[in-house]
Amino acid sequence: MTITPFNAGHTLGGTIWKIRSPAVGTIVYAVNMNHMRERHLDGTVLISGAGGAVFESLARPDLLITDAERANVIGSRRKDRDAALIGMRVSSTPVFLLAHLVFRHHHHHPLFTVLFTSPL
Amino acid sequence: MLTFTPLSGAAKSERTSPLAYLLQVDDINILLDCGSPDWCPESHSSTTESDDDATENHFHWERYCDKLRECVANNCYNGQVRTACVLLTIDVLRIAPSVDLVLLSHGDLAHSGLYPYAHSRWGLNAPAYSTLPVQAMARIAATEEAEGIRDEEDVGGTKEQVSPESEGDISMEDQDPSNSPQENQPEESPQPELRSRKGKYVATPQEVHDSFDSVNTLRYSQPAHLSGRTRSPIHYTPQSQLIRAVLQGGVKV
Repeated sequence: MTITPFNAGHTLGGTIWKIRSPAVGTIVYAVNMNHMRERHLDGTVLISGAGGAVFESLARPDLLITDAERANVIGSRRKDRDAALIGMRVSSTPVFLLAHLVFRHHHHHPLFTVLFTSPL
Repeated sequence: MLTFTPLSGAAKSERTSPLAYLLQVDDINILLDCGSPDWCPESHSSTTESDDDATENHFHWERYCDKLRECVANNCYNGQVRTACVLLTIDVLRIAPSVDLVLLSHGDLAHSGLYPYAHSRWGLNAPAYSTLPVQAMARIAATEEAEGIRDEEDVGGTKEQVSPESEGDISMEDQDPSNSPQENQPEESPQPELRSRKGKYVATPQEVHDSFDSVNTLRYSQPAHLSGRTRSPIHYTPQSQLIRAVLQGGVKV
């Protein structure tokens, strides 16, 4: 049996697991994927080719275990999200994204001091 | 032979988290994710159904945790057979005496939060795999959760603190799921009662570190060849892959 991780997006190190077994064939376990490339994360490799082609190594599994949790959500544009994020005081957004964004913003607009109250 | 058994998650209930699926492939039991429930659900004090929600949350996680516990700790399970649990988990017991492999897909609590407790208290000693960032993120998240909950309330020390009496209580509640919500009288300040109720499976920070230290890490696209419990290592030859590719191509044409 062989297991291979692939990038799922969504979280740092998020994984699509491909399991190959001689008797059953190929099983792909892919939950909580993000196909969009974020500032701090690449998108999933599953849909990586031009024109939405499926990544060759993960194509045509014998069993696919996946979810559709975010399928019904229409994502907002990155520009709008960034603007909303910078304007927020209290945030529960992923801290890595926030830190990255704050540093970028600070680089272009060095008018304020960045102060983190907890270690990243 | 392939069997897929959702222990929790969207395939099992309306909840999408925590995730825990059991996959049996070639007599090898793979645990896909090992998420922890939301131990301290936000109390919606403004809404009227908050008590029911809280009770329902508790009931949900106890059933899930019992199932997971049965799965991973079947070998060292020493208690009396609890009829309620057997009824709830009879499918799992039949097919899943123990877990042979754990795969963690994301480093948040919903995907890997219960792994430290299961590893250190329930004997989930099967090899676990994740990527390096997932290992690091899950360690941070679980440590934060463990410290936060342990600061707020007493969830048990370094030892397994479930006494035979309290185990009996849990099984009593499990025996009749429909009565369980009524037992926790929602009218008279349910919050302290629920919070003090045993059954939050929160590891100590040290256990969290030890558990995630034992996780094997892989890089993306780095295959790991595993041998079955009773089998010699399995190797894929280029020929078999070629044959497979030809077959798949043929099907496509």
